[in-house]
Order: sequence, then C-alpha cells, then structure tokens
Amino acid sequence: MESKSVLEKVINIADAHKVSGCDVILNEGKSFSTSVQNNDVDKYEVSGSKILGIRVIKDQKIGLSYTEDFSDQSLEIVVKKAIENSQFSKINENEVISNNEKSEVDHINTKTKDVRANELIELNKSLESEMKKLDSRIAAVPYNGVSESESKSYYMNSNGRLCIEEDYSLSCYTSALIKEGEKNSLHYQGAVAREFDKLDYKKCIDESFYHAKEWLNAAPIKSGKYPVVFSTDQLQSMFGAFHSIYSAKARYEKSNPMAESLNKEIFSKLLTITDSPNYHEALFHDPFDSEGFTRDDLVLIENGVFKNFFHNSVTSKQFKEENNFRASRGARSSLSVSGTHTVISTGDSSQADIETGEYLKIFSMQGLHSGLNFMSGDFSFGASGYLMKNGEVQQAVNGITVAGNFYKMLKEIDCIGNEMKANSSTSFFSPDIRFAQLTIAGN
Amino acid sequence: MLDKNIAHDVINCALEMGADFCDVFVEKKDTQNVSFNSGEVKDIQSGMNFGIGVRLFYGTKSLYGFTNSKDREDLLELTQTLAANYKSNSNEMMASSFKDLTYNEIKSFINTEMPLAEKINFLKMMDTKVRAQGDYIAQVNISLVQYQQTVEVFNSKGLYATEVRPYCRVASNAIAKDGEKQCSGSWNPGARGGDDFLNSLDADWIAEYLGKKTKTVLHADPCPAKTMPVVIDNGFGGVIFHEACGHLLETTSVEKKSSVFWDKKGEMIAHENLSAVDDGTIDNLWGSLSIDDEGMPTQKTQLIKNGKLENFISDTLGELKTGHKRTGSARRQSYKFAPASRMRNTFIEEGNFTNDQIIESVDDGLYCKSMGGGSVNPGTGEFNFAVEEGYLIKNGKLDKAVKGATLIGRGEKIMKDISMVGKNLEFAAGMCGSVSGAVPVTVGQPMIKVDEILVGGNS
Repeated sequence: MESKSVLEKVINIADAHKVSGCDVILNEGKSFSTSVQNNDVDKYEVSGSKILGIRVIKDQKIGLSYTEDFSDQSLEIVVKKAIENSQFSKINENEVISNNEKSEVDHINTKTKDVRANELIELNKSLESEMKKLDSRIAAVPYNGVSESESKSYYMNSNGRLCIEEDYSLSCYTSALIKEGEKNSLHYQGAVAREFDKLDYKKCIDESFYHAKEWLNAAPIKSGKYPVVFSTDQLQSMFGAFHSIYSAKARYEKSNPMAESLNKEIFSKLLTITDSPNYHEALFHDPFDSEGFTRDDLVLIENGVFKNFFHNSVTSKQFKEENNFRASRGARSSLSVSGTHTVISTGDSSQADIETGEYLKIFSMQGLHSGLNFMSGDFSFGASGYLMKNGEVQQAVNGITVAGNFYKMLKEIDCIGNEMKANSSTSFFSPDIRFAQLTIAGN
Repeated sequence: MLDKNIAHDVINCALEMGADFCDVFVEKKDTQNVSFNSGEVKDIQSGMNFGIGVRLFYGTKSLYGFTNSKDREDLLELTQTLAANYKSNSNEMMASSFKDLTYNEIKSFINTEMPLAEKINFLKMMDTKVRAQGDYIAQVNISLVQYQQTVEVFNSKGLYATEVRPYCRVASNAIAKDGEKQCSGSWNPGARGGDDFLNSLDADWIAEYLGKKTKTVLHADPCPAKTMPVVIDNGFGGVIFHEACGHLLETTSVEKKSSVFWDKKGEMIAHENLSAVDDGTIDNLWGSLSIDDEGMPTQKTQLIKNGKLENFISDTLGELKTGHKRTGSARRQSYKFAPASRMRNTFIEEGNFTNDQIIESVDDGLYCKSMGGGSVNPGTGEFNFAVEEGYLIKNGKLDKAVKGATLIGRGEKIMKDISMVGKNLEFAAGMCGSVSGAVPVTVGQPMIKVDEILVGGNS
C-alpha cells in the first residue's frame, strides 16, 4: 500500500473510533553503507525500514502509539493502543490538532544522479589507500566507511493537512591510527554531501592524518586558566549539549534553568544566535514543523538578551506567547519542541584579534555529555588540541581536562570573529569565538 | 514469528550464491513507557517494532541487510541484493530442517500483569517521596520503561534458537534549587524481567538517595584539578572498568589491532589484585541473556585473573578474524544492526580490603561516591568519566563535598594502578553505545583505589 494511503487509512480508523482529532507521522528510509579494511570490503549493509506513529486526542486526553508492522490488523491495533493510553493521561485542553490548513505541501531533496554501489566501494578503498600512503607509521585505518541514505517523512492530520519531506545524502568518514614505539594516536573525520562529486573525502583524509600525527607527540599543558577557542565541530557539540535552554516545554516542566530569562541580558552583548530552518548554506532545509506549519528564522539571543523560547501550539498557549512553529515529534515520541540550524552571528573581530597571545584551541572533546549538569551549567571533559600563540602552534596537547560553566562561559566572551564557518555536517554556523577563560587540568 | 520454510529458503538462496555462512535474525519488540512530571502523568506510549536482519559471510567479509517485511519475496530480494557483488555458483545447501536449540534459561523478575493504573500509582508514590525530602527539590521526573524483546535466530548450520527477553527500568531524576544554584541527580535501576521488579525496589531508599545527593551537590565546591589518588565506590563505579578496559577486550577492537591489549593475552595487563569477568548468565541482571544474538548460550567469561589477561569478548566474526573463541557475546540494539562482540554484565571481582582500609590509605585524594557515564577511544585507550558525587579525602578521612569532577587516563595505565579492591561488590544498570547500537549492560565492582589519575575540575 502507498504510504499516503496508509496514513489515510489510519486516520479513518481513528475517526471510526470517534476521536476528536489525530495526526500521524510516517518515516521511511533506505540506506546503503560499506566499510573497507585492507583494500577489501569488510562490512556491507543495505536496509529498508518504515515506522508509523499516531497521536490521538479523545476527551481532551492524549494517547500515543507506534508500529513497524503495516498489516491491516496492526494498523487497527496501533490506533486502539493510542486510544487506550489516552484514558490514563491527564486532561490537557491546550493540546489539540491545531493546524487547520487543508492543503498538501512538500519539500523534496532527491538525488540528482544515481550512484552505483561500486562507485561508493571504490571511494571507500581510496579513503584507506590514500591515507596509508601518507605515512609509514599509520598502523591502521580502523574507522573507514561510506554510506548513502534516502528518507521520506509524512505528516498527516485529521483536519486534512499533509506535509511530505524527502531527503538524500552521501557521507564518508575515515581515520588514522598512528603508532611509533609505545606511543599511539587516533583521529577520525567525516563529511556529508548531497552530490557524489561534492563529498569532500580528501578533507577527511587530511584532517584525520594531521591531528593524529600531531597528537602522537602531544602532552598535557600546565594546569591553569586559559582562553579557549573551539573548532566549529566542537563548538556545535558544546551548544548542542545545552540546546534545551530554548525549550518552552522544559520551561513548563520546570526543567529549564533559563525559565525566568526571557528578555533579560544573560550572556555577552557580543552574542546573537538565530534558529534558521532554511539557512542558505545548510545541507538540508527544514521548512515544516511536526504540526505541519511552515516556519521562518527565529532570533533566540540578541546581543546577549534571551529573546525567544522554542514554541509549538501547546506551549504557546501555556505561556500566552506567539507560536514560532518549533514543534517536534518523531513516530515514537510525544509532541515537543526543538530547533533546526543554529546560526551565531559574525562579530567585528579579525582573525588576528581572535589569535592574540596564548590560548588553547580544542579539536576533540571526550565525555562532554557525561560530565555536564544541564541545570547548573557545570561541565568537565577530556580534550585534545593545540596550545597557540598569536595563531602559531606552540604545542600539541592531550591528556587534559577542561572544566567550566557554560552559562558563565557565554558571559565571558573575549571576541567573536568576522568570518562565518560551518561544521562538517553543515547544520551549525558560527564564526570563531574566543572564550575568556576555562580551567585546564594538565601537568 | 518467521515461517521456518521462508528462513530456510533465504539461507539456501545465500548458500547458492556462494556465501560461506548465513544467519537470519527476527525481532519483535513490544514497548510501554510511562513518564511522570510535576506530579502528574506526562506521556504514556506503547508501540511495536518488528524487523528481520539477514547476514552473509564471504570469508571474513560480512554483508548485512534488514527490512520490516517478512514476505518471502522481499527477503529473497534483500539476500540477492547483498550477494550481488560477491556471488559465485555453489551447490551447497543447508540441512532439510532446523534443529531447535535447547538451553538453560536465565531467571527474570516475573510479569505480574500489573494494571497500568497501578504502575502510575507507583510513579506517583515515588514522586511524592522524593519531593518530601525538602523544599529544595524543585522538580521530579520519573519514568517507567518496559519492553519485551522476542528474538529468533536461524543459521546455515541448521540452528534455530528463540528467546523472550523482558526488561524493566525506572528512571528517576530530581532537580534541586537554592537561589541561583541549581543541580540535578538521578538513579536509574533496571533489571531483566517484568513488573515484579517494581515490587523489589525500595522507594524510600531511592527518595532519600536522590534527596541527599542533590543537596550535597547543590552546596559543593568545585573540584580541584590535579593528579591524585582516587577511591571509587561500588556499583556504578564499575563504569571505570567498562570504559578503561572492557571495550578494549571486545574483538571488534582486537580484530583491527586498534586495542592496546590486542596481543596481550596471557600477559599481566592489570595490578595483581585485580580480577574481572563478563558474565551474561546472572539471574535478573539487566545485561543478562540466555542466548546471544547469534543463538549461542551466554557464558561467564573470565577476562582478567590476578592481573593476567585470560580472555577476550568474542562473537562469530570476531572468532573468524582473531581466532579468539566466541563467548556468547554477540549483541545488537535491534534488527537494524549486525551483531558485534559486546559486554553483558561486566565487573571487578571482590578483593581483600575493607572500605576503611582503602580510605585510610589516602592522604590527599578524591572519593567518588557515585559516577556518571563515560567513554573511551578504543584506538588509544584514552577514557574519561564523570563523577556525580565526590568528596575530598584528607589524611585518610572524608572531607568536604566537591562537584564537577571528571577522571581521564589511559586504560593500559589505569589497570595497573588499581591497587586495592574491596569486598562490597554491587551491580548497576546502564546503556552501552557502540558499533551495534545501544544495548543494556550491567557494570559493577566493590570499592577500589586507583593510585594516581588526572582529575579535572573547576577549582
């Protein structure tokens, strides 16, 4: 059965059970991935999967259920289970199927040309062989793979709204494990693209090799307070770990430390952050939220002032604030909120300003999530990078821990660069930011 | 769940196309989650996952595919797609029928068919007890996760094995607040079994634990950053062995020679006071399995005995590539992952020291009462993990509480620095993420002392 027909069928079943409203999410995907070791295919995977999740509203109560079995019997069961679950939920008069647009919209990013499995395998072999040519000390390329994936997501509600999003991507990653005597060092890097010719596999090789080679002779630096600059990938990890500070849902559930911060200056005046679903440089655009609404840019932090929380139709009613269409829901999850692409605005500082004097540049973090407390903002993690002076590497660094408080760190920004950079999956955009000081434990 | 004739046809299709080995993994997972927030039900959700994974070996080359379909034609097409680039003609066929595997089933907490309303009452009672710890408790989040995974394994050697695996876990989290200061603490017990596990939990103890822990961390000073001796208490403290050594003993690391221990079997890799096992056979434990995801009965595997490396954690592919015999350790998150060698219940065995002896042996160090999660870079053995609740040790006595500490080091060094092992072995449930997804595991240990480790903190 066509996916659209499945959605219609499930909504008809729910209607027959006299629910006051429902919406259904259906995700389907296909992927191919390969991994090469010693110039031979080590792993080769193909997949196809499909999942459907329903949210029903009956007697002002919400019920959720999902299935990966699309038989008629299972579709009937998934609706009944959702209705059954709703009986035990609290009454929530704010949660309704709020999108009344009776229209069908789509956003299609299909592949521009077919890529054969053999082309991907050859690319995967090149990743390994070109890496090995770089240095005789490369003992292995333990993480080395290429993949292709296609996904299609549907949203349909009982008011007649249908949104379809289709995406396609190719990705690759490789690594260098360098050994010299008792010393060893490993680094890996990945890249994503929507076209085969644009997959920057050489960058993966160069960056993996460069850091692994440099960190072979790395050492801890003296313990103390240092200014810190993160690579764009690591900066994305830092901001991503605290992304829920914008969640109006967490604010309602009293689990958001920024609950009282709206329109207050809480961070450095240098900092402006925007959530941008259709950012021109982003690999994927994300024009619809999970209630089927189209959406635009949303300023989160403006010159250090907290300007907006992420809202869906429910949280906007709870707080009597405008819905900014950041609803998120997977087939297996309840209605929540989330952002899309984070864009940190460029500042006035030149590269020379960022690189003035001595500072630590971090290219790898270990254990960030296990060592952070979202409520307090405290974090502590292992790190590798370089001690820099006026833009020049003074020493490769590993075996250190970096500790601080994220909320304090965003107040203590030395300067923000004037050149926009993207992370390797092109979902996060930021110039270099120099943070005034973090505590380093080393020698 | 899958017609045996279809499984037979799929395997024969793979063999006819020259595969050396084929197995078919069928999974059905029924889940029910209830989450509780602000003293009321937040979400109730149930669902069903179903899928089939087909794996082919050509020599040591592993080809894997999965689908939600159990139709014969779809599965044959998947198998042909996998083999398309490697096929050769073969007259090899498997035996005409499968032989059912018999095995000793691990005991589990029974499923008492507790009505949903009673489960909700249990969460409500937990919520009330945690809030009763004091006005500083600003929020409580509690959720109940229950699922039953039913698996079937068919392979070209004629094996048919099946197991029903019930799981039950409570995730409790308290947020404490005092003026501008905020922090959170959690306790997440889990077991193999049904809802009778809930009856085994001591809600008063959990509430008191969360209350004390968050109150302590709320008012703790930042931890000093330096190298020092560290005492790690029992239970979830075992995450140190899991990260610093366990992952490096999985054949997924050993086969690539990326593990620092890949060629150290029979050698002293740890202090002579340290012995450790990975045991999938312990009744009721969160990481226990009767059979692994290749249909092999699980085992107790002695990893290290008095400091000497005795065994690796291995699966079929690991055995093919490294020669280390498989240990019933093939695991995967779901049908969406090919199996890999993974830990089950991994712990440091009891030693000879009392807790007092261990604390008294430290002049200036850190006592980690409870640990957070961690991670390891298998290529270099560099690991890290977070301390949730810690205290300084001064002249052999516990001193003030500290927060925000992280421990980092290299596995090969730290194993030699674990010089004292206590007698109070305890287990704790966790989720372990790796090459074949996130799987339930148990970590465990008695109290241990690490002579020297780098402690990161904000002081």
